Amino acid sequence: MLKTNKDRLIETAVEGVVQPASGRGFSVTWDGTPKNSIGTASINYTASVGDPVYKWVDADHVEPDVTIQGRDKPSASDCAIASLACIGNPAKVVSGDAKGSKGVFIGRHAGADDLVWFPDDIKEKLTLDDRVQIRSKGVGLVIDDFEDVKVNKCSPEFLEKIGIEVKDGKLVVPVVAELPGYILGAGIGYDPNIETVDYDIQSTCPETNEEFNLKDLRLGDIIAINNHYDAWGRGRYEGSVTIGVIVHGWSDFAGHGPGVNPILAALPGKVETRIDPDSNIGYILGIREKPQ
Amino acid sequence: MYLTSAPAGVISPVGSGFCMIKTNKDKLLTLAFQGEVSPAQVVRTYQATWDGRAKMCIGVGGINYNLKTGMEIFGWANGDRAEPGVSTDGVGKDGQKNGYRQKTGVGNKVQVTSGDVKGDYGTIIGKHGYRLPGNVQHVQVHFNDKTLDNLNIGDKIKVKARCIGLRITGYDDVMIHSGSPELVEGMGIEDINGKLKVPVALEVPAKIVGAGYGTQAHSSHIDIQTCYPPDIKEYGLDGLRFGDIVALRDVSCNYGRHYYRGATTIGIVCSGPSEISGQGIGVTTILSNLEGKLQPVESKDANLMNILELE
Repeated sequence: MLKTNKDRLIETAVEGVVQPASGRGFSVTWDGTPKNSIGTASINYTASVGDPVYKWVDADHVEPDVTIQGRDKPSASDCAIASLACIGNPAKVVSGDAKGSKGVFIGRHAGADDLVWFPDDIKEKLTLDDRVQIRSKGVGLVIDDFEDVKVNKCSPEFLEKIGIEVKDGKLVVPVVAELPGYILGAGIGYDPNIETVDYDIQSTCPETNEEFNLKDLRLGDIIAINNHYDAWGRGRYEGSVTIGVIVHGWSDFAGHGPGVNPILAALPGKVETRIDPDSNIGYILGIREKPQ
Repeated sequence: MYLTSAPAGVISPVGSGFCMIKTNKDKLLTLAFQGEVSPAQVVRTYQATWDGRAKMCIGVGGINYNLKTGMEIFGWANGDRAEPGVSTDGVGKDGQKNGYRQKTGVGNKVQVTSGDVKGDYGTIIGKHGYRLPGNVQHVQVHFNDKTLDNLNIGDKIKVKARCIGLRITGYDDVMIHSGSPELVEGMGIEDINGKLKVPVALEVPAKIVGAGYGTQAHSSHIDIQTCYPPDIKEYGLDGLRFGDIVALRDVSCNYGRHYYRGATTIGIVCSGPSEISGQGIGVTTILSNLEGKLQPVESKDANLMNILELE
């Protein structure tokens, strides 16, 4: 079991409101094809954590479950929920017919924005202006003896359940796939914040889509990004490893693709990975059953 | 200076398959766009570098008196994505600002239309945009020293923009963004056996390209990352100068900027390096092709200073 400073973390309420989907008409994909895409914001009755990133008709950047957005500042990315909510934090509906219902925070897609899982029957009760409160806890989380490994957007409960082991002075993290940093795109270098911004595994090069089996990835998968050090921003560092969670789906727009929230980042020699096809936050958080 | 004076289409020598490029420049629309000189951009709370240091980043926005096309990009104190020359942006509503950012081209002439140097001319040398500081986009302009000394923040600028729709004859699958006929025809591009040989100061692999992926191709820029310090010497980035022409291997900018194995993008160095994760040397992207039609040829002279005959 990992030892952490979890007893010293500040637990703070933050709030978001279910965010309606918007429409912009046709946009142009990487090869010049018009696309009228669907899948961001709103209540997604179809796609949930654990479902594939690819397969949904006309979808782009598909977000699982329920998308909420902070309203305490003019820009959603400046709101408290954007920086403080962590994967695994408990969520509660505080208005409307679903008031009192419980869910779980599952990541952040900058743009549309904060993602919460609720059971299907609660999704049916939610409306597009319901308020959701998160008991945020996780900012400042540090693993004992690995103070130089940056932990981001993880509740202590989630971090402890991932299945990370310590071996020969390194953290060994179970991941679904290892990907090279050079196929990461939109969001790289955007700004030094790792709490508020995801970045995309580019799905707009057919050759690398096949080479790295990107269509097999699922929403909520934990993956490794080699040669990236996402401790203070998102960017290249040879030999580093960044561990991330996939928060949204496929894209046909140039430089975009499945989005990743970095959750661990280390300079060379501190983090190793082992392949585990079940390393998905849906299974880890107990909100989706593993297939038999 | 490249062979811009050779009549387009001249074949020489016999059997080499060589000819200078032709374009459709006579069919392009020319429109006026209005901008103004932008203020310098800073963040009073500092920015975090890739390794967690606080940095007062300077050099973006405003009038940079001592950063000019042709100068080395490294070594400027506190510089971070520092821009050569004068930074401008469009005026009016968002749509009008975007028109200024998207429909102007490198090599287009600009004229100052207000202030102490009203009537003076300059030349567009790049486009650069970023989230911090300021979340702004710039169209960068070169002026001679006399104009520079008397230019003021807020002075109005008029661009006679001519670049949208530019094509190289026989190469409709080579996309051109933000490139004026003066630039594209002045780059010394040779049409040899169905390929375009493009003189460049440096070729850069996609593995070190970063911020700018996922953005639209006709404004702003893409970065060559400099947050992993050993890359700077290994890939020869330390020899780059403002205005250098560079090739980005396996990068497409056809309909947005993205990784695409086998593609080539040709661009112009429009900013200095960065210590921010994922950011670095800015490149304004000009030519793009998916399938090997653009073939970079190394040339020390591949710099805007020579191509556009800047004062």
